[in-house]
Amino acid sequence: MTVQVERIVKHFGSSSDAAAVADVSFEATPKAITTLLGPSGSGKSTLLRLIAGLETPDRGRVLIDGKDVTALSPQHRNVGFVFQSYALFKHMTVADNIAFGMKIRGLPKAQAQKRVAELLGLVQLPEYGNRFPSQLSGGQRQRVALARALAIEPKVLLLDEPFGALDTQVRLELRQWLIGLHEKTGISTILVTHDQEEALELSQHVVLLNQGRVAQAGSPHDLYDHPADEFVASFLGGANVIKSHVSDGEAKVGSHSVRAPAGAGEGTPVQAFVRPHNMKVRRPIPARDNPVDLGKVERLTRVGGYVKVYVSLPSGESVVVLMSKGELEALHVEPGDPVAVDVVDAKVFVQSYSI
Amino acid sequence: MSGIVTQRTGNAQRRDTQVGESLLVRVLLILVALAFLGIFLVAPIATVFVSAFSKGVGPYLAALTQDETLDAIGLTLLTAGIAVPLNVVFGIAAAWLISKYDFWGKSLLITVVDLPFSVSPVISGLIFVLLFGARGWFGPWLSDHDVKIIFAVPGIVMATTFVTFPLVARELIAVMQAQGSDEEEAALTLGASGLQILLRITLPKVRWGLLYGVILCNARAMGEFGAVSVVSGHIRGLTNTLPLQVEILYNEYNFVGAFAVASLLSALALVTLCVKKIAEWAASSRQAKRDASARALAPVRTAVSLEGIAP
Repeated sequence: MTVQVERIVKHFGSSSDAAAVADVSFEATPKAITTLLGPSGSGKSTLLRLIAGLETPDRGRVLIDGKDVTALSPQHRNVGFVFQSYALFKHMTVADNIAFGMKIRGLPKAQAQKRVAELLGLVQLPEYGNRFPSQLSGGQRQRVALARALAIEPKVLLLDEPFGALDTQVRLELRQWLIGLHEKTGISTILVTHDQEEALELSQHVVLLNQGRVAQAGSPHDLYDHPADEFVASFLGGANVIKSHVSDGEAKVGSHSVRAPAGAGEGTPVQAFVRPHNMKVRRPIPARDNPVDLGKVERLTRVGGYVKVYVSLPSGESVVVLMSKGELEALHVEPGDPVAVDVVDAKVFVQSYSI
Repeated sequence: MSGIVTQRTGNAQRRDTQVGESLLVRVLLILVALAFLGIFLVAPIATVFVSAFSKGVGPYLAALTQDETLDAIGLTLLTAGIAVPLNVVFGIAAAWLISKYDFWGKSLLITVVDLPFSVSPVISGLIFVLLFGARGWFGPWLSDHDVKIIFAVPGIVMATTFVTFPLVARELIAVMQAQGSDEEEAALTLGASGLQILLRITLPKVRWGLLYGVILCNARAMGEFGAVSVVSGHIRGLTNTLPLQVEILYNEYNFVGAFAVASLLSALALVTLCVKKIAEWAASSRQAKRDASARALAPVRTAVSLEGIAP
């Protein structure tokens, strides 16, 4: 069971407007959770609605299970769709909500009832069948919405920012719960989110979208460790941006050398992306340290067991270094202290994209 | 009185704040409001009933059971009985179209729906005379085929339908637009057809708005005077609705009769208000009941655990 999207184009309004989805192709991994990740306006939700048939593409094809469903109405696609707003039927009980799709399909009542009970157990709300949606918390409502979508035994489950309306605590709980649910059902799932942490934690395959196009697709580690361009590097994980230029086939980030990107000639301005944990702060050693590595601590911000160290560099640029609380305590640095910054790893791109 | 801030926890709406007027000003304002209500609302309605019963219950009942009045009641019921269902069907269709779809000419349709409200009822009646009257566009054809619309029941029904046209539609458009289409889209992905979505999702969702629209539409259909007056021809016992009958009786100095019939229409207005209140109360008390039990359940929010899921 898989979903393939082939060269999908979708415009809203007149065709002279920028496309919401511009020539996107990707293939969801069967039986896994595939994530469509991107900032708002990147076209990820539109893409999901195109797969469900809730929007019609201007060009391109959607294939489910190898079958072209582009012309099929959502009614006949047999996909489970979960909305950010839950979209539960407010005038029906939880049990009636879950039974809705089966009733439409003319399933015998006894059989439907049995399945509703199973699904209520699966989403851990066995006692809630007679309640109305307004009597449930947000997390409970979203679990009912999942049960309702699963009730029709869909070929694929489509989740549109399912945890977007929930508070952090519930969101983290539900994320773990969804992993468990997916292991149990094994249903091919496509999840839309703008939350990179959610994408990295939940899925084996991430399609990162930017301005209606696929910026990069692959495993979460691929995207994180080998970003294809500046957008991917800066969107995933966040990074310090340090300006540099190519010299002798290399770009210098402080005193750290990185191989220049292919095709970048001598003197080409480049941007180095350095993850906050790929930098280290230490006490300077006079006479031995390269002056370009020296900086001054501006601020310290504690985040749980980590400390963000804001350092201003001699170039005038400011960077964030992430260190463990223990590491920093051993250094005894305070705001205003001079420090040396060591770059452990950096990715360099030719400057074409500005943040 | 003012100057003390009392805060009753859990009931934020009812508290005295420092933002307020002195007692004197408040009493004056209340008296002005009451006087206004008394002069413009209570007194006229009271007059209707007082005048109707001025000669006792006997003449009142006699006036109501007159043949012509009974005919007028029958015609009014028939008119409302046709106009209201027509406008319900039209209203649902128009509201569905306007709130669920984007299409060329949508804003034009919204304007057209409102048109009967912005046109004087007399003009609304005149439109039908110009269309179907003896000298109207279709007049000669109609008289050739012996069909009577103007100065007959069909004209009255058409004029009433036209005037009450926006009442259901407007009510539903507002409700449907506020509710959005998420539930309909969910039903669609679950395999429901358009008709199934309408019957099982959309109509139950908007039922209170629909009821309210029907109540308003019915009140207006029974009480319409201007448009009906133009197309009716005032033929006693045949084309007189209740409001027209009031006018005729009044012009004949039959005040008891006029006010007796008027009291029927006033009673209809009062009943309409009551039904509307009950509908609102029913809607809100259902909601309150659900909220109350939701609050009662809140402390036992189930923790999500992986137990029972792990394969």
